[in-house]
Amino acid sequence: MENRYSPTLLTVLCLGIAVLYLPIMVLIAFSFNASPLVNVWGGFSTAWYFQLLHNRQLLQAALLSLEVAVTASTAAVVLGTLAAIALVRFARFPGRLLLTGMVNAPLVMPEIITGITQLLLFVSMMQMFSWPHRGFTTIVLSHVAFCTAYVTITVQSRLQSADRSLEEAAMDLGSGPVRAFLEITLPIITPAILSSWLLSFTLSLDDLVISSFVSGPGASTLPMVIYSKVKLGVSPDVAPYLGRTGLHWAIPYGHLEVIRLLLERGAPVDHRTDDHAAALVPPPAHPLGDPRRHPRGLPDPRRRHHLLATPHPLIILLGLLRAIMRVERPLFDCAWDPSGHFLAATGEAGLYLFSFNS
Amino acid sequence: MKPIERPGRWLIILPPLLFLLIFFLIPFAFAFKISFADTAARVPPFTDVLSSTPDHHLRLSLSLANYQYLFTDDVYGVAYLYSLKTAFFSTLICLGLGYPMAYAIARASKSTQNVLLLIIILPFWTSFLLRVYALEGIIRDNGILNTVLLHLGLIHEPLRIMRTSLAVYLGIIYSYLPFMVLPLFATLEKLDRSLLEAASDLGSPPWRVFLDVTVPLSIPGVIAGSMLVFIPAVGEFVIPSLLGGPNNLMIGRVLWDEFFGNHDWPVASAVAIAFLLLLAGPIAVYQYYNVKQLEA
Repeated sequence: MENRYSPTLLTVLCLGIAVLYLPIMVLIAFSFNASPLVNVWGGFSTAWYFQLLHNRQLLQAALLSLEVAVTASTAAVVLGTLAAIALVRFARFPGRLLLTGMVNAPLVMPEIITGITQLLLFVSMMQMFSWPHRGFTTIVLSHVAFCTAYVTITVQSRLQSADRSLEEAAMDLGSGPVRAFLEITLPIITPAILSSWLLSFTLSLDDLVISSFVSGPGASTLPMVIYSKVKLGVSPDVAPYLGRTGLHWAIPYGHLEVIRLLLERGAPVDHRTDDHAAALVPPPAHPLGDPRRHPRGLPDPRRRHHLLATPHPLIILLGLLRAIMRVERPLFDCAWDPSGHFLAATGEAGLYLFSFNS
Repeated sequence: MKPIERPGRWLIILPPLLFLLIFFLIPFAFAFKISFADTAARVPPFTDVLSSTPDHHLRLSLSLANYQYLFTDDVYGVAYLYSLKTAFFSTLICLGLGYPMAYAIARASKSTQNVLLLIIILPFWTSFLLRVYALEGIIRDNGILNTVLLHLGLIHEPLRIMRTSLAVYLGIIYSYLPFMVLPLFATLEKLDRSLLEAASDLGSPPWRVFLDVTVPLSIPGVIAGSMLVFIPAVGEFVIPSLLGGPNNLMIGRVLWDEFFGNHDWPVASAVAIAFLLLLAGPIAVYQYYNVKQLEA
């Protein structure tokens, strides 16, 4: 074996590794940045991690993701190991080609196609059998499907290199084929099974696209929450204080620009605060419609008065208190940049930064 | 070796076969069916393709309007071509960067090899989404790259990389590089060294040995790696959506918007089916080489 490297080869290797690691290193470093701005180093701080512990939405999503990942990877390991045994040990059976194809295709199939087709399956199944409800079950089923492929490939290659004669010796000595497999071959492929479980676990934990399609209302996995945060800055349904969303704060004070923007961005009108007040009290016939169904459309200005109707008593009380204490600052203050792309809204519940790019 | 011929083997074959059939293959049939439906204001938001009439006949109502629509609105054609172009050039760059890396790893000593492989695989264990976000932290207008370059005085105003094609390329190369390196390494490592020695004993200079022996023998790895990068890159959604701008419309984003933005499930299904048909060639090539390699 030669160990001489040409300088070019070494440079490319180092460059490639730098490409793979630099961004992650920067991300880790900046997670300890005391300043909330990405381009300013404000000193070392672990504050963000403590804040993480108090973010109910993120914690719930993380818990769901963990449950999905454990269930899906365990099921995938069972199915994938069986598939690997079938492909390696049974030279010929009807459907072998089909199984080979279905095991290899998910590795290259664009996730977006897998996601949309599986969603359509689940919706059709729901129509026919009233099962499965979109949420945990459907996410697990779809994750099992792609994880099984990875498990099969991993276990298959290990099983192929396993020494068959040991198992045959056991059978010659009178052990049944099942027992011979369990006692001889299974220990040999156990490392592959364990590593494929870990791989499935990671893949499931990391999946965004498929989960987004097959999940139902209320079931958001961690990547889905992170994606919406990265994409929108702060998602319009965060309710950091008393379970109130931005709409709950903006409506009673009539900050129309903020309300309009929040509705455009799909803020939920039916979100209930900790004391069960919805942001909007539905007027008799067709109020605003569901803003989430028309994310691009502007709310009808003639309907604005509904927005301002009936603020929650507590909010009125808060307003009165503020008036008594002569607080000048409104609950929300917003500012646009000249091109209309940026809005900063400051409020009592903290600093909200919405950075939009559409 | 005599194959085990007993009914019990179906207990092993059937569970994975049936599961993948129901949850991986049959969904395509449903997508195919729904691509012929019409949008309807109900739950789920499309009409029935197959329904039974009051006198118990089956009624099949197919609508080709969704496919026609794909041809009338050029957003789909543009997005598809842009996706193909982006995936193609990203694959080439990954190959250019990944081949020397895999070659260097394959030539290292066994212990170094393991360390280097671990280094290549390790990013897989961090979140893909966070890696893309991390990349954004570097290339954004006020990111690390621009800050450093401005401080050094090499540039006087920030480079605009975010929301351009360049950002999408960087994202894809960064995320998919390991998929190129690993299969290449697998073939380069298995290369029969005596062939290389024979070639150089017969007087070939090292670069000719490389071009005439190493490269042709590594073709299966090149194809496997390229397909592992190319096919998912064509359908990539997260990278163009987080790093790209409005002009970097890739087919994955169109599909996502059609589905989540316009709630037009039939058109989204038609886009997915058309997309799948166009990818059938590359997927078949991948399957062919993969099966050949596994059986070898």
